[in-house]
Amino acid sequence: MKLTPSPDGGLRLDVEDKSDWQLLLGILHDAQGSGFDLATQVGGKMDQAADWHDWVDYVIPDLREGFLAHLKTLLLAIESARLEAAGGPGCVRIPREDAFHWYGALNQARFALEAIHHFGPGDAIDPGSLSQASLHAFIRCGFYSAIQNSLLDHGLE
Amino acid sequence: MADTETSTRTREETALDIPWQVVVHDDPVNLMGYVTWVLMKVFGYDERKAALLMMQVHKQGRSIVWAGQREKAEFYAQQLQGHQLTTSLEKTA
Repeated sequence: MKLTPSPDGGLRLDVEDKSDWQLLLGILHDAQGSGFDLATQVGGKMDQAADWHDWVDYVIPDLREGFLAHLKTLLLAIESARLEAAGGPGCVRIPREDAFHWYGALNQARFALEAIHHFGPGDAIDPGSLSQASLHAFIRCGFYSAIQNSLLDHGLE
Repeated sequence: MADTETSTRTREETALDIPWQVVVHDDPVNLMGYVTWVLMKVFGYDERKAALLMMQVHKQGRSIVWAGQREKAEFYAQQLQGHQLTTSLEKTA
């Protein structure tokens, strides 16, 4: 897979084969697979505010809906590109207007993997000490971070 | 009697005026460049100020990124959480 900036802003992901498509769809699987609730995590420290119940009743469901919209943007982009390429070599475009949703979806995947594997700051990890499953997750986290860094440079405005 | 009414009103107004602080907490996932970008986007801070606050989050585990009226503080907290930053509100001591 190759990640390059688009001339008109945003990024393009050049997909080489079936395993690359699986890798991209893995973002969605990682983000949703463990049942991790990011909305509760990012809003959870509001419990000391007087209106905590309002936050739980109104704000957190809105956050959840927003985060789901990020995943839907990815699903649509990846599946439509995969269909167009008939599962073979193809290209997924990330236009600037979708960059935030892509960044958010990748973040959700990394948050969910962190909740399972507790990597902490990435530079403190010795990959040799990880189980096979954790090592694969760690590598995926690195891949997601690499896309996020490119989005920071070429997508988010 | 009049004195009591005045006193009560003053206390209520003071309570409403107490600033609320918007606090961003560190996490092991959000990239430092992203946190800076979010603070610039949500508050309109320049890059230098946003980066300073981000470094505070990174090194001290938390940073007070804004203080003011409660309603606006809640709005900002919601915005920051929508950008996946763990955020809380605190009353100024």
